Amino acid sequence: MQKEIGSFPLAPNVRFKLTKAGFTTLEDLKGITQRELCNEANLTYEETGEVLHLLFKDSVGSAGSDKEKHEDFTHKFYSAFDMSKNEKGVAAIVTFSQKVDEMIGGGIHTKKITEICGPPGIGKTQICLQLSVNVQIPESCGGVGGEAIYIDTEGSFIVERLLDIASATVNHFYSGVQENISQEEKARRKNLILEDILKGIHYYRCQDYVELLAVVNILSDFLEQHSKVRLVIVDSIAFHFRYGFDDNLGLRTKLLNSIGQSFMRLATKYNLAVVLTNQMTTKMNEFRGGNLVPSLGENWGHVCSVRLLLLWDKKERHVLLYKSSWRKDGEVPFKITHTGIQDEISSQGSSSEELDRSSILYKDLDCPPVKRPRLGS
Amino acid sequence: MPPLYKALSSFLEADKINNLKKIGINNIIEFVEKDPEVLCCQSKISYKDIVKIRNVLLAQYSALPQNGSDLYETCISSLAIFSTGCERLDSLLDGGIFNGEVTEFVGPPASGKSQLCFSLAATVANESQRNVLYLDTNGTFSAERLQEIVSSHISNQEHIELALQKIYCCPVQDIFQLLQLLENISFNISQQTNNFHSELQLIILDAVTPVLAPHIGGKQMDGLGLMVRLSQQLMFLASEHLLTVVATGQSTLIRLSSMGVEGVHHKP
Repeated sequence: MQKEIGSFPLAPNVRFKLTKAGFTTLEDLKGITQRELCNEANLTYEETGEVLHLLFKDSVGSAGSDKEKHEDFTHKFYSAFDMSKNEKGVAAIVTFSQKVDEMIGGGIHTKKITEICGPPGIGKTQICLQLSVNVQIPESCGGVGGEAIYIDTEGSFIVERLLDIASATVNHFYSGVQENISQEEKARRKNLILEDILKGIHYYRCQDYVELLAVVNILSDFLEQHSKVRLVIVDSIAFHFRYGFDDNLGLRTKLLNSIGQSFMRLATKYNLAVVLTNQMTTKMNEFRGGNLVPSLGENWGHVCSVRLLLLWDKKERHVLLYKSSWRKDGEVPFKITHTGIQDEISSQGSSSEELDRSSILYKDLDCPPVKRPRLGS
Repeated sequence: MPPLYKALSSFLEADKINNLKKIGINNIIEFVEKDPEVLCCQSKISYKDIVKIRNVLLAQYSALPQNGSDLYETCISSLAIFSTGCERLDSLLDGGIFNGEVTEFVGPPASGKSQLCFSLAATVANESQRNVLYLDTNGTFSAERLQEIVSSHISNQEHIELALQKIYCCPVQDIFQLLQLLENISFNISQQTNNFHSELQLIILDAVTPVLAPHIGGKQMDGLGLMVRLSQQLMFLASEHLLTVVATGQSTLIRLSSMGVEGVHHKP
C-alpha cells in the first residue's frame, strides 16, 4: 500500500486541491517540480514548497534512503525487557505519606498523567504544593532532583503556605546533617536552600481556558530551555472548563483531549510527571439522589493514566486509587499538618524494600498541628 | 486515481498527453473507461498505441480475482486464535482473538481494557513466540505489570526474559505520526527487511480515542476522514499481513429517554 497524502499534517484546503488534481499518494508526487505542482493543483509557489518539504523531508538523496527512512521507526520501539530494567532505576516523586506512596507504587511517576480529584477543601492544592517541593529533593537523598511548573487556574496558590511546607522539608533533611557549625550558619544555609527551592518552582496564572491552552503550547519551548523540570502541575484543570460550554460540549471534549495529548507528548519527550487536579460533581441516580463523581465527564476519565480520588471518611481524609494500570486498587488515610502531607498514624519505620530511601524520607515528621497565627494579632 | 504521466508507459509522450487532455481525459480511469476505437478517433493517437497503453495500465492498476476454494484454503491454513487469559471470555469469543481481523475492547475508565491487552500480549509472546507491538497513546504501558502477568504463566526466569524481549512498546501521541507508523510497518513487512517485522504477530493500539478526539467535533470535517483512514490501515494490516490487531476504545455516556423514563448507557 502506498503512502497516502491524507496521512500527513497538511492544511485541509491544500489537501483538497491536491486530491482534486488527482494526487493521492506519495508516489504520485515523486519527482514533480514546484512549478509543475503549482500549475496542476492551483497552489501558490510557497504552498507547493511547504508541501514538498513536508512530504519528502525524510528522504534525502537517492532511492536507497527510502529503506533507511522506514527502518528508522524501529529504533523508537522499546522492548518490555529493556523498559522493565529502566523502570526499576527511576525515582518517583514522593508525597511524604508513606502509605499513599506505597499504594501508588513509590510516588508520582514520570511519563504519566496523574489526576487528583476531590471535593472542595480536602487538600488537592496542599498535595500539589507538597509535590512541587518534593520534586526538588536531591537524588542523593532518594528524590528526583528536578524543578516544577505550577499552572494555577483558581488562584489558590499562597506563597506563605509554600514557605511553611518548604522550610519544614528543609528542616527535616537538614537536621540529619551533623556538623560543627554555629546556629547562625545553619540558619543561613537553610535560607539559601529555601531560596533555591522557591526558585525551582515556575508559576503561571491562567485566567481563562484560552490562556491555559496558550501556556500548554509554549511549554515545549520553555522545557527546551529549562531541562531540569520534572513536574508539571495544573491546579485545577476543571475550573475553566466547567462553565461556558453549555451548548458546545463537543468543543470542550476536543479541547480537553488535545490538552491531554499535548501533556502526554511533553511527558514522554521530556520525562516529566504531569499532575492535574479535578473537581467533583454530582451524578443523579434513578433511585437515591446523587453521588459524587469527578467532573468534566466520562471522556476526561480516559485521558489520565492514574486517578486518585480524595474523600472524607468521618473525620479522616482518605485517598482512593481508582485507576492505575499497574497497581491494585486501595484506600489509605492521610492527614495535612502545618508541615504538609503526612501519614495519618505516625510512621514507625518502613517495611518496604527501598530501605535507603525510606529511612531518610519517612523519618518521623510528626509535630503538633498548629494553625498559623493571624498577622497583626 | 493518478493523472496520466510520461513515466507510466513508454508510449505516453507529452504530445499524446496533451491530446488526451484536450478531449477531457485526465487520469487513468477515464482513459480505461472509454472504448479504444472512439478514443482513437477523438485523440488522433494510433489504435495500436492506445491498446498497448491500455494493457500496461490495466496490468499495473487492476485487482486480481481469486478462486473461492483457494481463498478458503488460505483462510483455514493461516488461522490463529489467541487466548485472552480468561477461559469464559475465550468461550464467548469462539476460542479467543482471531488473526486477520480487528478486535475492539470498549469500556468506561478503569474497567480493565489495558489489563486485557497485557494478558493477550503475554499469551502471544509466550505461546507463539512471536513479536507484539504495543502502541501506547495515554501512558498505560507498564513493563512491571507485564512482567507480573508473564511470570504468573511461566516460572523459568530465562523464558520470562525471552517473552518480555518480544513485546515492544512505542509511545504515540499524534494521529499523523500513528498513520505513518502503520504505513511503515506495512512496508517493512512486505519487504521482509528485518527480524522484528517478519516475526510480528500482534499489534495493540491503546487507545484509539486520544489520537482522534482532538480532530473531531470542530467545524472542519477532516476528523472523520482520519478516523476512516486509521480503520482502513488497521484492517489492511490485519487482512493482508495476517496480523492480529486489537484496538481499545473509550466509552462515553448517552441518555436515552423514552416516555419519561431516563436510562444511562455506555456508548463507544
